Amino acid sequence: MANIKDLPDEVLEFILSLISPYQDLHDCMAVSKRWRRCVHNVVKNRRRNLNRSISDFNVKWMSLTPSEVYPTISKRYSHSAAIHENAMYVFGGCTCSMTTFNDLWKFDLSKRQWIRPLATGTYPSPKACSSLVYHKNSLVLFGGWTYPPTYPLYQSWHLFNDLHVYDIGKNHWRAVGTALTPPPMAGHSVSIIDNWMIVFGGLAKPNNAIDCEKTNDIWKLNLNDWVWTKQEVEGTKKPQGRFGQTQVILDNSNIFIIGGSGGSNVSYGDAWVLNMSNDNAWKWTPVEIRGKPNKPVNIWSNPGCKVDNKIVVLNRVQTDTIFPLNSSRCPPEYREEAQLNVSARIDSASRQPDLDENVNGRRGSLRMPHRENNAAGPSYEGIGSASIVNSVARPGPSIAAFVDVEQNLRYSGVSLKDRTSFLKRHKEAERRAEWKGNKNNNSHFLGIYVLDLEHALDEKPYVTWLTPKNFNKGPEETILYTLVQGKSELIMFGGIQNDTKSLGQLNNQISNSLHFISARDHII
Amino acid sequence: MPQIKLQSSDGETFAVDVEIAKCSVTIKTMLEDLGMDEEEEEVVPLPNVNSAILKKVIQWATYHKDDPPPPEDDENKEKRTDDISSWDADFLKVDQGTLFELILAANYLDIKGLLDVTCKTVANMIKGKAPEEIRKTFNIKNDFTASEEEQVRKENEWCEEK
Repeated sequence: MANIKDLPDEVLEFILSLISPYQDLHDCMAVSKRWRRCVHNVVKNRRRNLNRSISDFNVKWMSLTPSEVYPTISKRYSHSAAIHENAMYVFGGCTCSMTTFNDLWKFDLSKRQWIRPLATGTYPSPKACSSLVYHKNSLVLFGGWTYPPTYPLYQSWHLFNDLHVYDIGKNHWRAVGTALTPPPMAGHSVSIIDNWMIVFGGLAKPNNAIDCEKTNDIWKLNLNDWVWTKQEVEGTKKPQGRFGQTQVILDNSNIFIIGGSGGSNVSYGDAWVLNMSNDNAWKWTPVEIRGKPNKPVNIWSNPGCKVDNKIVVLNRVQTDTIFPLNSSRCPPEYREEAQLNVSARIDSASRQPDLDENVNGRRGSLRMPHRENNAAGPSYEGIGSASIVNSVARPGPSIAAFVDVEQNLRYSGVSLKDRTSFLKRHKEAERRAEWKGNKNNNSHFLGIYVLDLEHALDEKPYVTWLTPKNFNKGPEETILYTLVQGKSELIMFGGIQNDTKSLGQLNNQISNSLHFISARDHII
Repeated sequence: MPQIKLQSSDGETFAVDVEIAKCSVTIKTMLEDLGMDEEEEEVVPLPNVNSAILKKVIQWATYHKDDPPPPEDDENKEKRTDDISSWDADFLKVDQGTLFELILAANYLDIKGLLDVTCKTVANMIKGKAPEEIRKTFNIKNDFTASEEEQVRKENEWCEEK
């Protein structure tokens, strides 16, 4: 009788390609030498397929709306996320009622389930826009921002320069004290190279300063002895101060940054390479951007994610301009994983307001019960006026106003000139809504934008926004989510819907959904 | 309806509707290339499939003969392993030997639907098992030394090495 041994390699590889790429596939590798070889081929294929799907703009979107049966993470935006092995960790972020979280959640990528590890040790303060990166079985959390206390009035946003380390194995938070510390900051970008954590930019508040400023400083933290150093830079050429940029590692001595925000209505699209080979003076080189017609509008509240030698950024799909050929093609490829959430679909109409049960690491015990009923309305008002204060009275923007700045941009963006295209888009959207069977008739959707980094380290460096080859539509337009790379997939979590249609329903605009971007299946 | 005769490795012949037999790309190509459909009485030899398995394959193909053709580019098809129909699940309640024979036959005859569903069944047998349990399930010999196995368990197969 036949045995699994009798199957040709390609059939065994086909079987293994049906196995979840996380724990299950890893277990298969340890079965025998043949299985290990086949798993390596499957991994290679999966990686190649993802890269090809991204180059072809032909990715598959799947979403997972949290089940209400299992404990699940609360809705949030401006949180931080990091991946290690078979789990994605999420820390903090903004709640839907003008507070911030300090909880840590773990999403088990094999089982596709949220777990809340109740850690021991010294918890970080509730904050958003912090950096969270993996290093040697730990997660390093730095900086961040939170709303000011309500009294006394007119305080500026509160920034942090706290450094915390979460030990994954021991499930333990530790506050790390350092002699020298960078100024409190948020919206900075970090990379880990060897035992260094390199921190660039952010919205920072230097000692004695009253206001925050957008910085272009570089700090590095030695992760062995926890000593911070401010890094000097050679020459005068450097990117302008910014926050919310995307930063990726090109190789052991080069970091690449793109985008970011310089304040209200200042959205950067420029790119730089930071060369770190000379210890005493690092060097910035501006990078030419090609393919500008294909560039996303917003690269500051939409984080990019590096895949192979490309950066993927999600932005509103320009169905009418970039995809004229496809605008008649109505049904998007976007589907929900229906079977997983039939009973658990969060329906914005029927769902109870989010109760922020997990604020400050507790479950709902701090909140006065009557406040929940009217939390959504007043708190939105609150944020709305805060944004006016920010954009008018204060010179710099604040991260708190991320959302509001964006909405202001959208209001001012509708000029007379745009009316016709707006109407056209409106019609298109109506048609789409008919197909989709929902009432939101001017929604925009996210799609992928791809930046090719192949020539980022050339003598005359340039990067290219690739021309979209396919019409590709993901979830409704969202900002301030996290986007990280798992095994042969990108994982987008949380965020706030960038849409003015549901003014006054801020609660419903914030998400705790997961969206997975993966390759189309290419059978051998 | 025109029929052809399929002959198993052990010499048994089965009369099958041509349309059903053509779900096998191998047979379809054979008929087209060799113009065998002209010859009514032609017998197609299938030296890699024994009669017990060929019978199962024909049973599967007959049940699925009216299935819509699979979408051309797999666009709307998820790679899921929990979407096996109840008929297929019943059909595949067989011993492991038969299951692997069916996979080999589906692979040789190039019947995508049958290959998919049989491989999914095997994938479901693998899922959630530790390496030792997988070896036990499929009677696989561990050819790693203890230290090699230790090494493999620490190995991150996703690290770039290319």
